[in-house]
Amino acid sequence: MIRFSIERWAEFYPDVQAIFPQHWRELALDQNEIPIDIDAEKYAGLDAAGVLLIVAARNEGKLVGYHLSFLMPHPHYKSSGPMGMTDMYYVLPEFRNGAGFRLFAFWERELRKRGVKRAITSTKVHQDHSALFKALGWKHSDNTFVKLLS
Amino acid sequence: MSLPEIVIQKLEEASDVRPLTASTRVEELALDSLEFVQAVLEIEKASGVAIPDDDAANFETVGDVIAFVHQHSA
Repeated sequence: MIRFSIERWAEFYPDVQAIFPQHWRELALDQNEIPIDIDAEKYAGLDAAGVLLIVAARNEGKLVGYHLSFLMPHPHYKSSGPMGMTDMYYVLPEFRNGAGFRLFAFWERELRKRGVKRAITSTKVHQDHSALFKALGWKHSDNTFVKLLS
Repeated sequence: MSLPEIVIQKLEEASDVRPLTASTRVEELALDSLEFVQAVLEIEKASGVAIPDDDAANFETVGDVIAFVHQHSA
């Protein structure tokens, strides 16, 4: 049974290092031009500043998935308090039977507990979870475009 | 149809696993996230019981689903 919990970067990072490359290979675009290069120091700083929220999914202690988000007031809506913005999420393929739903339900509950008024997330066009988000009551708000410039 | 029968029927429509019993674990249903959420929505429609995502995410067995619907039915 997968269990979800909030973790700090210091405990999360040693375990996630083995998964990040798999996550990147499965989902990142332009892999020849833009290699994975996680800035662990930057994440540690965001964690220390209270901006980073990590939901870890573990099966018998082993990290099998995660959702990372940033919690901060949006510069357009300063008086509306912090908003939750997905940075990235991933579940190992062999643990995907419903884990994505539970991961997002846990994240949403945590945001509500912290008084967050609005959450913003996304899905890849080439691994599209739009139907799931719509079924969970999310509004389709934006489309994002990427262009390799050099 | 009784509430337990509704839950079993809707989950059986979503999953290929047979037979389903109260002790069948949700993860054994082999449903992806969307399939599970859609099955929950079908159970809501058929039973008239609202199932918040937060509660659905904590169902471990088919029996948990039945118990929730039973406890929250009018």
